[in-house]
Parts: sequence; C-alpha cells; structure tokens
Amino acid sequence: MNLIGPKSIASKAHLVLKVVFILAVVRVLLMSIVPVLAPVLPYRSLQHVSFDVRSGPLFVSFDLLRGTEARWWIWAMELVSRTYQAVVLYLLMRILAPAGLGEPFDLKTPSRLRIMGCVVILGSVLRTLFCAQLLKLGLQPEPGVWISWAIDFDTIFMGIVLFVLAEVFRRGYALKTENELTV
Amino acid sequence: MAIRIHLDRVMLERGISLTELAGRVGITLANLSILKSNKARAIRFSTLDALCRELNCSPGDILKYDSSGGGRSESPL
Repeated sequence: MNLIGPKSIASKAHLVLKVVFILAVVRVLLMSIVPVLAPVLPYRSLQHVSFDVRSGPLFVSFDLLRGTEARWWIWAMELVSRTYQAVVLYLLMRILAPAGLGEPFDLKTPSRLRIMGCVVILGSVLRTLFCAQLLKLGLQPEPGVWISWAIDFDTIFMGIVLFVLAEVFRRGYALKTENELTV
Repeated sequence: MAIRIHLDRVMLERGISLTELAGRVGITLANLSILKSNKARAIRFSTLDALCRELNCSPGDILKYDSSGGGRSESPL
C-alpha cells in the first residue's frame, strides 16, 4: 500500500483523524457544559480529571478539590488543553487531506503548519501558567503527582520544528509550481 | 519576466497549428499552450531543441528579450 495518494495510508489516516477530531470536539463540548450540569451531576462520576504536565500523565482527584477555587482552574486548564488538542487534530486532518489525494505540497499546508506551531507553543505556555496558578492556590497533588510551573521546553521545541516544517512545505510547493510550469 | 515567446508568430509563418506542433514535439497541448501564452517559468533544452527542429528555426526566433515590458522578476523560491 502506498503512503501517499488515493487509497493510501495517508487517505486512511485522514479518515481516522476525521473520526478522532469529531470525538475531540464532542469531548470539548461535554467538558464545557460540565459546570452547567454540576448541580445535577455528582462529581463522583468525574472522579478524576486527567491532564498532561510535562512528560507524564497527571491525575488529580476531583473529589479532593470540590468547593475549592482550584477545581475551576483545573477545569479551565483541561478545557483549554482539550480545545487546543482538537485544533491540532483539525489542522493535521487538513494537512493530510491533500496528501491523501496524492498532492502533499498544498498552498495552504505551510500556513496550517505555522498555525499548529503557534497553537502548540501557546498551549504549552498556558499550561505552565495554569500550573503556576494551581501552585499559588496551594494545591496539594496526590503522591506521585508532580505539578510544576517550569517552562515546557520540549513542546516549545516541537512548535519550532513545526515552523521549520512549514518552511520546508512552502519551498516544496514553490518547487512543485516551478516544475508544473516547466515545459 | 522580460523574456517573450513569439511562438504564435513563428507558427503562423510556418502554417502549423498548436495541436499539430504539440504532437510533433511530443509535449501536451496544455503545456504548449502555457508556453505560447508566456505563462511558462522555464523551458527544457530538449523542448526548445524539438521546437526548433520542427519549426526549422533558431531559439532566437522563438525567444526574445524585451527590457521594456519587464515586470518583476520572480524568485524561484
């Protein structure tokens, strides 16, 4: 099976990403209505809110935070985190669409990659700010859990790599156009 | 770009149509049309060679440098 083109791995991955993106949007919508449902829905059903801080998954018990200001910060952090994940999935899906049609160098791919880079870096900075706020509120994480306000350089580096990739795709598109107009 | 293609004039002089020339040169009609309408960014030596052979002319008859009608030169990247 080919990597790029119709009926290739890229086209199948595009379909999979479409489904994952829809699920991500549903998850964001559900997350956003949690506060509305809060008086009705017992928090026990949402016992654990998970989010990623630096390298490992972080689990904070929602029960422990009931009635505290930190609960809302965690909710906001989770919502922002999931939203930016959905945006990244959407952009990835749009980048894979032309590759699935056999034309990986698309006019809009460089700008999509640049937006993805911005979103990744912004998400990392926001997560750091949220963590700093949680520490300020005196949140005591569970044993084995680590909350840090340290800047996540790994993610920022990934964002910079996306900017470089955007430039690679921009040049690829320019070469493709050049080649198409060579007779 | 200041390079002008005078393919239509040479073709008229030789009494050859675009379709016929495309078939003889071995390039598609679309590509020959791009060349004729000055939209091409580059031309292969093999294409130029075939055009000159079929039209019995030299490259200078087809390509002309027109400094007045320049416009901006486009960077390859």
